[in-house]
Amino acid sequence: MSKLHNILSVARYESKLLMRSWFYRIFLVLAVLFLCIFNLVVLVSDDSGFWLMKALPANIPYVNLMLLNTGQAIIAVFLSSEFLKSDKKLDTSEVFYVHPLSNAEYVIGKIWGNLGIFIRLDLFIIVLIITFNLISGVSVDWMAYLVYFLLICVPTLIYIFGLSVGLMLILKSQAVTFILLLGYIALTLFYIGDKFYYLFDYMVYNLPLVKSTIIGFSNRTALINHRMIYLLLGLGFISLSIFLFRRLPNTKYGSYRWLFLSLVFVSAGLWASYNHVSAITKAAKMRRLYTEVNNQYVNSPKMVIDHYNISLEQHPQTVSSEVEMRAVALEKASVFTFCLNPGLTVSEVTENDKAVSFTRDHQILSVDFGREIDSDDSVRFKLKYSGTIDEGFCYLDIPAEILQEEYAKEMFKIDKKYSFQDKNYLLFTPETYWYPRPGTSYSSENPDWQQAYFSHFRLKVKTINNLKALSQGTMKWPVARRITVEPDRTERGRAGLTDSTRNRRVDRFSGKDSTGRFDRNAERRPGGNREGRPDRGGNREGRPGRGGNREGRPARSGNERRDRGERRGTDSVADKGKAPAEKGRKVITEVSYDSIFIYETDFPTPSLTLVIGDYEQKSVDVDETLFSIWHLKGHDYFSPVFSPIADTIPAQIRERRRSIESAYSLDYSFGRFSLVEVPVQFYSYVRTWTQAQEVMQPEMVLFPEKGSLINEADIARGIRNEKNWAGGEISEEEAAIRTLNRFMRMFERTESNFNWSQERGAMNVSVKPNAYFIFPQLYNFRYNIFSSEWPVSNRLIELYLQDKTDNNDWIRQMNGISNNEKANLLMEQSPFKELLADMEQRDLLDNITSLKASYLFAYAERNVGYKEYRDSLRAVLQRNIFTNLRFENLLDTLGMIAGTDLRAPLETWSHPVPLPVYVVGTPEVIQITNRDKEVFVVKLQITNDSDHDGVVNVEINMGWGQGGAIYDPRAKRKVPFKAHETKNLVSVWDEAPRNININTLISANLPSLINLPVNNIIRERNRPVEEEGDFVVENASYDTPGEVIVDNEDSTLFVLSAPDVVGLLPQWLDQVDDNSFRYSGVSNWRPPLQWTLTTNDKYYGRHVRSAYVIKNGSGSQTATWKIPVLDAGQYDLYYYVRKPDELRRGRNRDGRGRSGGDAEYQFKVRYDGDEENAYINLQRSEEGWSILGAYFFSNDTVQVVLSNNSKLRSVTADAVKIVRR
Amino acid sequence: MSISIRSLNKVYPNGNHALKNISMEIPTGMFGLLGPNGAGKSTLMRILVALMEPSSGEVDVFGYNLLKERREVRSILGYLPQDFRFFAKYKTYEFLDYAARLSGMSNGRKRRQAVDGMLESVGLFDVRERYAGRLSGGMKRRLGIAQALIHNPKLIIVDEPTTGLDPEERIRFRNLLAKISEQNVTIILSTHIVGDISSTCNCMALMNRGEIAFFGSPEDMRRTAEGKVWRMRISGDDLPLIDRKYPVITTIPSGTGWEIQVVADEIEGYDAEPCPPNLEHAYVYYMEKRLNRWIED
Repeated sequence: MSKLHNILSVARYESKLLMRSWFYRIFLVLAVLFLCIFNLVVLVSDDSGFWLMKALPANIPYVNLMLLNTGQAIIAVFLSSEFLKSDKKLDTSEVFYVHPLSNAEYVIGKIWGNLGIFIRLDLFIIVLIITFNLISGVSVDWMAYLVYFLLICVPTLIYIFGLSVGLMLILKSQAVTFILLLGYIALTLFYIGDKFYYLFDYMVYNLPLVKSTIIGFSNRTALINHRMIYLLLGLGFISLSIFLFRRLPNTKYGSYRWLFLSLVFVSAGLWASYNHVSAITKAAKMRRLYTEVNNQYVNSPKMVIDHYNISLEQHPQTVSSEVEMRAVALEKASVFTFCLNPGLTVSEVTENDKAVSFTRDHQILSVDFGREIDSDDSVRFKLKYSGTIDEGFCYLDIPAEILQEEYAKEMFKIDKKYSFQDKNYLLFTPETYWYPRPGTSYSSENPDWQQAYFSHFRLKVKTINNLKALSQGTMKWPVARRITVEPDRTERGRAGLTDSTRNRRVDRFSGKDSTGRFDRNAERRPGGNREGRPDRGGNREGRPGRGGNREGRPARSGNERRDRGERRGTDSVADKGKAPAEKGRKVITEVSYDSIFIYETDFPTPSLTLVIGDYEQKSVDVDETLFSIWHLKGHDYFSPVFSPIADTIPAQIRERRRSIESAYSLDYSFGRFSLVEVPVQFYSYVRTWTQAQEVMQPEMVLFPEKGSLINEADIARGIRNEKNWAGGEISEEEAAIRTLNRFMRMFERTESNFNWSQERGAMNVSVKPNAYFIFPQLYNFRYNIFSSEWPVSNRLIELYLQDKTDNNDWIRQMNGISNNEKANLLMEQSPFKELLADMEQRDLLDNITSLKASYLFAYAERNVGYKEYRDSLRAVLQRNIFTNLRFENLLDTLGMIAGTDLRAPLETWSHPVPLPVYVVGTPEVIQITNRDKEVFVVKLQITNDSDHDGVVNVEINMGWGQGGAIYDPRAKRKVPFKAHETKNLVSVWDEAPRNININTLISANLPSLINLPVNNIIRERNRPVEEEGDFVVENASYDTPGEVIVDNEDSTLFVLSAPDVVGLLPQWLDQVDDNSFRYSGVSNWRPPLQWTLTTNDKYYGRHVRSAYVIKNGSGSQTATWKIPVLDAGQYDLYYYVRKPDELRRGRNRDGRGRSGGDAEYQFKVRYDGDEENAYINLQRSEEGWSILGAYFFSNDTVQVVLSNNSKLRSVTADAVKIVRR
Repeated sequence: MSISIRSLNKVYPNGNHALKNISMEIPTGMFGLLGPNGAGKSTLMRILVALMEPSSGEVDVFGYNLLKERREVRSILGYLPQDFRFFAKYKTYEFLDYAARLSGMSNGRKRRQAVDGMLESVGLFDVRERYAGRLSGGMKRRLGIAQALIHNPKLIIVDEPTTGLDPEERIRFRNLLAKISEQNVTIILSTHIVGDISSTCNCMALMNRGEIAFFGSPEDMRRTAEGKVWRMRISGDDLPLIDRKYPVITTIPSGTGWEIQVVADEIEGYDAEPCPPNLEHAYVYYMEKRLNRWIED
């Protein structure tokens, strides 16, 4: 007791000292102030904040305590070493030292005193945060406050206190200790970060700490182990401090106990570190092993399973499963290879109730049927297995560095999980191989594993804890009864059920009326068919069994009862098909959920997913497709918001579906579409060989809980925003409709997640593919292209069908180069085959593949027509639905259709591509009026200025809009060019085109996408109209006699001034990353301090449309063009103008730059030993060549000097020309 | 005997031999340790309060071996260090309360009573709420002694307590110590101010250069200087000469010359009359004559 008394006494007075120090008080005030403002802005304020924080309330304490923790870790360094300094300075401490308390009691008391202050601060802040939490209306996760406090604050504080005190005692200098510790903090925070598996992340900036509301922390062991590292090391350092404390111990050798204890703690801390790292390295080792095993078996005989009958039983920590399969041998053999998650143990394989011998090599299951089975012969056999999914087996194809990349949204770091399995929640995607699949999983030696095998599935699941099981296909059990009732009975019935049953579900999208169901017939367009969508009534391939039942709309017959095991006497209600207009009787679907669930797929599917959880369903039936949101209990935050627009939701869904289907001319063929809420930790990787990520499963999208990672899911804010944007002129309902649309459009976007990085003057934007892009539902779950030699073939076709253009203009402008252009430059250096394997170019792979696809089919497309060719491709795919279509066969078929050899270009994929370059002229548009008929003749001259053949995509934009109804093959086509060939492209139109887009595809042109505006339409009357066609022009020239142009790309005639000398600090702050591409992006808001080379299609250039850009300045920086004058005479001098963005929009359109001065560039023209000033007002001049003045030049060189002295934000040095009069 | 010191040596890492084979027995009551700066007093004090380890030798404090039983020794110890400053952020009563807690007074009520009583007895009760940093020099010393006494220690060690105090505070402080010494405790008062010892101690030691030069009562010490103190009247011109020849204790201007007191075995060439010595004279006599002579020997 006396020990504790002593410790508490020292602590009490140490705390008093600390509390009374100004340093601490200032920190306290700043911390409280900062966190108050932070929470006001992100939590309480309506207009801003993190949805992730509101959707998952545990993130509120997480982010607040993390921020606080950073501050206090730094302050603790100062304060903890301060007490030793003051002890040393003042003899006062000696009056305490002479007391009988031990050194340990004294040091522990001191540290506890300091710690206590911070802990009290933390508790105070926690109370503050809880207050904000309550005010914001977000539910409070009380446990999270405690857990995050223990995980974040306590270990950090103990560690940093122990470290600072220990270091101070060793170094005996507060100053040196500070420098070292602050350096250490900076190093870990800014440099080490999450490196070494975030081992050094004692401040938990990178530790994945987001807690799911469904499964809590998914990485409890790792988290506790990681935090134990720092707790133990902290305790070790504290023990060491006691040993090192400069006061004679009470007993002669007493302090050595603390040295020993210190060693024990530090060793335990190091052991925990080892555990942390080894858990990851061990997983990596296992992954390599699994891959090796796959490599070993990838060529062994396989069977295709055309029918699965899976019976799975959920247990608290495991599953047991019985799978009956009908398999067809792909080749003659007796032993066949299957792949099953290595965490699942196979206990028995039987054929006709007779045991069949099998062997297991990790994930591989080799079944020996004891007899030769001929190719295409089928066998039925049964498999029993049980166990827990080994998650380390997933994503063997993903490189370790990508696996280790952080999964974060804003400052929230999330654990990556690929499956879940506990007593309250379970999620198995095909990637886990939770049921046996043919062949192997990823092999690094043979792409054969990428083949998709389409099968019929029947899945029976028995769950525990009354959880619901979800999967693909029609729910055959539990059955639902459709009954018609009077409205008042419905209400009564509901009330009664609520009282009497536990797992009753009222699954409805609450509408204005009492049932809130929408009659699809009421919403359906007259006639039932829509433009751009084939007749659904017909019996199409790939969409059989429409008459079949669907989940939420199951079979009415009770013939599945024999499959039921135990059944609970509970009922539930799902409202269906209530027409809002119909005020009379209502149709209700009653579903009796129990622990048995049976699903049957409607048609062959490549894979099956199983989700088990406490789910509820909200659904709406639109055009025979049941659109559902399966959310976990208590997560329905959207129904109340969308209730007022319940009537219009089907129309909105229909519109979006139509938009998607017509964009790709592909059909959504499933009878259901479900958004299934899954824990936020569920992560899927971008695959180089397919668009489909694991979040996208047939007829199912696995959606992060409450859409927490997707800002569009913050619908309350979305509605507020919509109203604000509309200036408050729209109704609540209209805002809700727009918000819903914005949310649904997310499934149409090909890209998401813009990543920004910015240095002075240079900016970099990169985008990741959108995991929720719906395309795989239209394509991947029905078709598969396969090639052993070209595993990328499926991706190639996907990208070709998506017809992605790299025309994110603003991104290109920021980066200075587009990804397609980068891809081109890479292809010039390395063969396609090598690039496919180059991990460093992974982000550009889609661009490379897309360009290759475009080029591969260019001739065929030209021969048949853009749309026609794509339709042919889709038709071939449709003929090969639910099978693997060999890429080579596809090419042969398409080649026959288009009359060209599509296989030949594949040979070039093994070599680098020499890039052609093109010179694109200025379009000429002539309006010819003959009598009362008016036509527009469009002429454009393009030259292949290289030794290599190439293809250019020409798109004449008539302003019909995207996906417009009018299709004209001339508007979008590919034009091939032989080496050094010039073509004049002539077309005749009824109206003037708006602009012409030239995409030089695989070429060295920069930018590769050139937008040519159509200006200066020449009007002519009564003359013959030119013939349409692409005419080869001999001896074409773009030069005009008497004209000399000097561009910034001319290394001899264009000179820049030497850069200004700037201080080391500005240099360091403004440093631009050395990137391998010559051209950089330029920020309009923060232009570069030095002349920076960038490209833009509005700049002048023969092949490369580039210019140098610099921030405005005093005139110390100049660009000089030296123009040779061949003959003396009168000349006009021009400068090539591209209007800077600040003049294009906003306040500065009045012709003034940022500072209010004239939007002028200042030039000096030096000739004949004389110098004259010249100016260009960028506001008044047109884009393109703009006159600087008329001069008489003698036979000499004229120098035109552009100064960076301008009122505009930046100055651009591009090209000048002289034209003889 | 309350403290027994045997063959105590202290050699600092820099080679300075601060204590040289010291042995003595310190009786109960007030014990004075006199010596010039650098004599080794503070080193001895710090060893006695277990802040420093001796290089060799043994010390018993009330029967406890100082080297082996530090906790026990510390529990009967009160200490007021020489260069005593405060954590300015503690209030007067908090400082005492802190000391009381560390001495093992865990009962809150009793501790409060003890603190208030002690504040009364050192005359600081009225300033109990004042921050220690704002106390006057004398008050700080009194607070210092209060914290050393708060737990009724058997041994109180006070290092140079009156340095820098005004005469009134010094007398007050001495009286306080004298009063405490009546309560059957041992007080070791280390000082280089002779008056502190002469007025309070019944036993003393004189230290010089790490050794005990004298051990006995102050009266014995005073007696060693009998017949060695002389009074003289001299002219102003003679003063520098005499100052070089004899240790001059007092110099008082007198008419055209000076009346001075010097310490010497005998005076040659000047008219001098002997006068009765006090402890200060004896200290000077020791320091200037006997010790120097011993060294010369």
